[in-house]
Amino acid sequence: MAWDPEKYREKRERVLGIQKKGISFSIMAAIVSVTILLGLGVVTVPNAVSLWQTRHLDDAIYRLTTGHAWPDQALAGIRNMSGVKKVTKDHHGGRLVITFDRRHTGPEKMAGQLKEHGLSFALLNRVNHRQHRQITAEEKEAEGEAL
Amino acid sequence: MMKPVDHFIQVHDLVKTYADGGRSVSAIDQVNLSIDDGEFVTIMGRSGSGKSTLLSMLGALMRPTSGKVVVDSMDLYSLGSEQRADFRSEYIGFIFQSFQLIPYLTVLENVSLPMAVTGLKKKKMDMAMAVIDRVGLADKHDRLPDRLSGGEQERVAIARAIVNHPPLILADEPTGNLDTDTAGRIMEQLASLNREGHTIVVVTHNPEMEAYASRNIRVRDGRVSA
Repeated sequence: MAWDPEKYREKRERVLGIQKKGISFSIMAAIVSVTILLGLGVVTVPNAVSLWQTRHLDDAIYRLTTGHAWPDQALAGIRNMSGVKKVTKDHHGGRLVITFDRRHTGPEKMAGQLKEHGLSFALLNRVNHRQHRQITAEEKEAEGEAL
Repeated sequence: MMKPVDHFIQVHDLVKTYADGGRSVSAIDQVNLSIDDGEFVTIMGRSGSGKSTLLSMLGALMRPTSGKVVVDSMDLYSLGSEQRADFRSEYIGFIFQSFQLIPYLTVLENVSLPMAVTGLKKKKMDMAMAVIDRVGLADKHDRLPDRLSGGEQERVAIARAIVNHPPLILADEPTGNLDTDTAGRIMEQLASLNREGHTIVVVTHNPEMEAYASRNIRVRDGRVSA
């Protein structure tokens, strides 16, 4: 029987260490798996980090009973309070949103600080920070659609 | 590495010399031969004629002093030592006169030994059992070699040689330690493997073995004489 170079090609390639052309199924499967895992990671990791970092935060929303805008000098003391993470004004300065760590402070302590400036105000709401952020985003989206 | 060749095995100007007390002794002297895929060849000659040396060089076990052994287009002694080991694993099943079974391993373990580095355990065991069954020793697969007769040990050696489905089986005096009837059965088994497509090269000094082969090569004083 004449020698047939194709008959033992696979064995010969294994001996000589010749790599097959193209990408093998296992390498392709590994690439796809890593891509999926990285994609999931990109989506889920920042969310998980954000959830972890904001798990103790609440928002307290105040309004001056006069209906005026909040004076900036009254906010400096609030910003320096332990546990207060962020102080913002919205609705053209008419509402004050204070983001705080509920383990270190609360609306009562913040109200005491505001009263030192002789302001008359009301606590409109206290809400979980993440929930408030989500509601605000939805409101903005609804406003955009209305326009 | 690929060379234009016509035969499965080609031996070119093969020489093997040994140093013996300051003088050079020629074991193989300018041997040229070819063996086709699927042939059953016996290499015959007297003791010391060089036939086992020739077989060792065909099996990538012994580097020649000069010359080439080309199998499936591969020049065996231009390969690295690891490639040559891979070649032996992929291409060759060896059967030795003294069986070379490992005494503290069972029949099944001896036969599955050549597959130690490849495949899944269950699959390996199934393959090993299949060849043990083929040589008629399924009911003795859990025995140690010293609980088997000489013919049975030889059959274990055959099973071990074929478990990796090598295209080439090299046997060095496979019937040397067996009585005539058992030797005949072993040769029948080798002939059966040859009919399935294995190329068989058997070194023997027993002229009765010639009847099983498709071709006989005679070695005399290190030269191929016929």
